Amino acid sequence: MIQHSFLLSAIFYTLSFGGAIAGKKHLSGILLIAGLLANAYSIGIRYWLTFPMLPLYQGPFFLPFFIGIFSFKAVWNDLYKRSNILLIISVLTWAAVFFPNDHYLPFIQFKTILSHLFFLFGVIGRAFFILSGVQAYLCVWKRKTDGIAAYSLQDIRRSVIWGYLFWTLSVFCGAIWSYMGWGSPVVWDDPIIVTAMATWLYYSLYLHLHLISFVNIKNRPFFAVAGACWVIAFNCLPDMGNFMLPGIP
Amino acid sequence: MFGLIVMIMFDLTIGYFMLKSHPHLFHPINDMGFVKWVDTYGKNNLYETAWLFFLIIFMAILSVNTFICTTKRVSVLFRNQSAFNQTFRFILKLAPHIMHYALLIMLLGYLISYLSAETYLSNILLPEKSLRIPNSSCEMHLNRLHIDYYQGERLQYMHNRAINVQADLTIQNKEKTVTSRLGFNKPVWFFPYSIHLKDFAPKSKSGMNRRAYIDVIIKKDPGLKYYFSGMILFTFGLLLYSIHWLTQQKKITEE
Repeated sequence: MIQHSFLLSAIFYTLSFGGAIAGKKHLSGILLIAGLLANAYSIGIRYWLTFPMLPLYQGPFFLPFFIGIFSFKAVWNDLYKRSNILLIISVLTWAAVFFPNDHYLPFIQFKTILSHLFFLFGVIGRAFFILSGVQAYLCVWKRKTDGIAAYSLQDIRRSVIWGYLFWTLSVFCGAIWSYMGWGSPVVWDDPIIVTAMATWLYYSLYLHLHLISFVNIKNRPFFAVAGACWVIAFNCLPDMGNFMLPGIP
Repeated sequence: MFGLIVMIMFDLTIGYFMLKSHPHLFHPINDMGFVKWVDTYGKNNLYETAWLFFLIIFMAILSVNTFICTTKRVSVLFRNQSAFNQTFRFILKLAPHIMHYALLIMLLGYLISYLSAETYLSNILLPEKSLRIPNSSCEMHLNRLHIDYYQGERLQYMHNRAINVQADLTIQNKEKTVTSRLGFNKPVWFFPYSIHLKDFAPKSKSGMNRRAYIDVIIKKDPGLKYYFSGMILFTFGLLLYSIHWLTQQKKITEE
């Protein structure tokens, strides 16, 4: 059921994207809701089969859902935004379908609220960062083609601030969990720790851009796009595995 | 600062690939402390570990820069405190600086921790047996080990496997005696030590019956209170900053 429901959500998201491209607003909207529901069902089962432990390396299956939820209001009202955000959601969903990570059995150290907060806040942070990148792309692109930005700089900054808040909380929860479980706030044999730190520093820098003289307002969206590319490359891809056809009986 | 953070990110990217390809070189940092690690793994594998030394230098520069810039701005804010008609607005304005000082406290905590923390690994305790904490007069006694095995249907891979471990410990020195329950992610505190459960047996109800034991990590970390206080302060500052930004945006939208 896990594979079926997630595959179904990938199909719904892609069809919704197709509907948005074709200008079928209502059909696309219904398919988007269907995709989110199938995705939520898949997440629910993943948690049901592991709780109170953590569904390890399952982030890629949660990510499209959170991006969809956080951008729902905006994409519901605007077909242009919807098609672009749905393209990203569809790509991320199919990537999760075809590049799943190895299956690891959870261990007892995962049985703590801190591990769940670390994981969920981390996925939410990533979702906001990727969303800010898409918003920034639309802000620049739409302004170039039509002269009116689809998203404002405030929208991008809002997503970055939310992402930064959740990412920071995730890093702190991870550090406290690591200390409680292993007696050290940093586990030095996991390379993801340094990229998490780099992401945190990058978005700290983003929040300081207004203080840097050579970065004018027009350039700021490019930093959000670059940040989203970084997050996908170094915070999302390491959670994925080798190419594999979905094993559906 | 822009160039510095870009350099740190570049350095961390190199660190990512080095950690990925040589995790065995970095794992001992936690166990042996940074100074001993530099003398052994660090110095002898400079090509793989140089990024970490650069990271420390960059972080030191960032800390000095942050301290100077923040202190300048905070002093200006305090000089103009009378311009704020509400105390809450003044506190909201302080939010980014609270975060900056919190970051410095955290970094100080990590510095203290990596320079002076003591870690004692592989401390095996058998039920009704005692163990002395190395280099101290403290003695640890395992009174009882209680393991719950999963009997439900939902988590099939956990059937008959341990789901909850509780070890009742008594720790004492000349001044005091503490009796407490140790578990995974639930360390026992006996100042200045914390005792963490690392491993145990028997893990499974079925199969070969192994002798019951627990393996604990004993940690003495003087930096702990600094980096955890820094985290709490940073979270407080970040929440204030978010509230400030969101209320400002609401005002702009209304106008």
